Amino acid sequence: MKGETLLSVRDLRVYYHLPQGIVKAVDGVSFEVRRGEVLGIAGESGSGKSTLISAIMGLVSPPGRIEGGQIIFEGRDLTKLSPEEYRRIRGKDIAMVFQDPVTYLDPLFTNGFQIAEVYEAHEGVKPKKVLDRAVQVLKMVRMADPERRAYSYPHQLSGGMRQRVLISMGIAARPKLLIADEPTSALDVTIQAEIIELLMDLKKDLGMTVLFVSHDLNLLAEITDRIMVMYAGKIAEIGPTKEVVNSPQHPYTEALLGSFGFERKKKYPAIKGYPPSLITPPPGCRFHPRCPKAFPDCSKREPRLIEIKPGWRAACLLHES
Amino acid sequence: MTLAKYVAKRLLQAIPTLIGVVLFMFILIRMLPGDPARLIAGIEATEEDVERIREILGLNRPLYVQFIDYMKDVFTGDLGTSIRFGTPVIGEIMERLPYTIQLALVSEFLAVILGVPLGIMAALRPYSARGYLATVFALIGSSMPIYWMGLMFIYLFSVRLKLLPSSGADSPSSIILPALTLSLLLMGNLMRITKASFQEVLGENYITTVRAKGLSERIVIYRHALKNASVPIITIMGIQLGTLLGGAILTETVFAWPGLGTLLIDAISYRDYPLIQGIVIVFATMFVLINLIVDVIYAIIDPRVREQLWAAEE
Repeated sequence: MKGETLLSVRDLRVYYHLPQGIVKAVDGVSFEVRRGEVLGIAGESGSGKSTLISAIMGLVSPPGRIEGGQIIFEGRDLTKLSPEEYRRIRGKDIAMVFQDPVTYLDPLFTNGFQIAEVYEAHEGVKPKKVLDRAVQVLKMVRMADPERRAYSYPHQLSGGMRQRVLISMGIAARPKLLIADEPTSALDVTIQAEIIELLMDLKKDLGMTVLFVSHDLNLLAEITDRIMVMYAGKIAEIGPTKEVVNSPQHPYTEALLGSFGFERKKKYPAIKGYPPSLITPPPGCRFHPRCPKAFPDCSKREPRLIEIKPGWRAACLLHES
Repeated sequence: MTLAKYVAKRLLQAIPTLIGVVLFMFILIRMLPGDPARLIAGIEATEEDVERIREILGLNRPLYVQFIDYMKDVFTGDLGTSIRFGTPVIGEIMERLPYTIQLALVSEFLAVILGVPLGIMAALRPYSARGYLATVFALIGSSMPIYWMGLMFIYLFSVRLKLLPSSGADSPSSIILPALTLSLLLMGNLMRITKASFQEVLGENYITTVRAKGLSERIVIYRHALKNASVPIITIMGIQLGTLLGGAILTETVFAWPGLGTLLIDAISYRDYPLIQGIVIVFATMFVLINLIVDVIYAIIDPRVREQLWAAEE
């Protein structure tokens, strides 16, 4: 059913236990993903977006640990699953497209074999026996000459073609939820547009729900239904794309919008400073040291997510006063 | 370019290498002090006797004539006559070679079946008790002097427990102690390389991809990680086997193992030129062969190497 909740993340906390201290990479994040939508997750590196998707994929490994909260997918809390139960979901119901086509493909196996491994994982078939299905998936991602490419190795392909192989692995089992982690940031601008278009077409054809992670808010503005902005392990703002982009309610969202695109640069100040340390985050609002609108209270009180309108929330003390 | 063609080409290329080795050895040995003719004749022999022996052996001819003659013989499979034994060198070598090959293969096999799994285990659980234990074990194995470890094994298993023969190669169980001693040394290095290589590969992004597809850890480790980590492991195995086939001189001496190592020591102390030359040619040939085998294995494992090697041969 379109519009119903597919994935619900509740008060999720993922910490890394390092010798220097505890890194609270994801610190109390709650949101929902609706069936059929494209939800964008935006944030700088270090905002916790990568850790968040690792947690949804069940791929958090030591020194990282899920400290609390729930990840409810189709009514099941994934954090309670055994490794084997999680394995059966991973790559089948929830799949992922990685960002760097060079390092995310194993150089020693053919492209077709690596795609066919998805069927091995979930149907128990030998990859070599189902290479024809890998060819079919390569056709779906509009790979030129798919039969030949299935039998060639990653290093024999261009960056754009490798990204198509990575997408093939993501969609091979026709997942319900596809997580795309900056799938175009390593590609040439011309190819970026093609890949984005392909992903959006696949989403429609296969009826997938998409979590699209990017630091580029302007890209997300074009392709997503809703946007979630993360800062220092927390949600800064979440809401319908159009509204968030047109009238951002969090100074950090404004700043992110200002980082890209000439038009917006005039309207919003460039973002200053660096993301904070997550071992000893700033007191109060974590963004206040970099915030152009900060006032004394910001370093004392931690903002809650305040509803601006139904379905649109922002965590800024400007809305609490 | 097929694999067979590549191998054939490499074998042809090995010939100049081997000729170079023979020439080098030939010159080097003749620069050594000591007169083989005098050694054969004995200290009390007259100068005429020594001269006659020199003539019989051809040692009084110019060096280049000796070398050309020798090369001709080598290519017909005749490595000359041993000065000490008076028998064909090739015969002496062929008698010892099986022992050296046997010891090398058994030790390397033991080292691999112990060292590689221990290395994988240490890489997967670096901070566990088992991981530490494996690392310490490897360190001890690779840092003990081989003659000391050999003597300790002889003391324990032969003298005290009287379980195994201490020397020679008279019974099938004779190989156990020398092979065990050697394999502990080899295993230490293999284990460390395996651990380092595995740790590096397990941190690679493509391993995350394999997990994200929903494949089991078994496939992550034994298909993707093992294949990617195997190149440095095979490199070390190649070097180890090459060294072992050159005769594990210390081990063979400690256990009186009748391999090429002990034969070489004898040959050197008797200034048995033909025998020394023969043994070195055999070593060099085996080294070349092992290098070729290792290169072929690289090519089988890694398609990028395959392309490079075969493209370079065109």
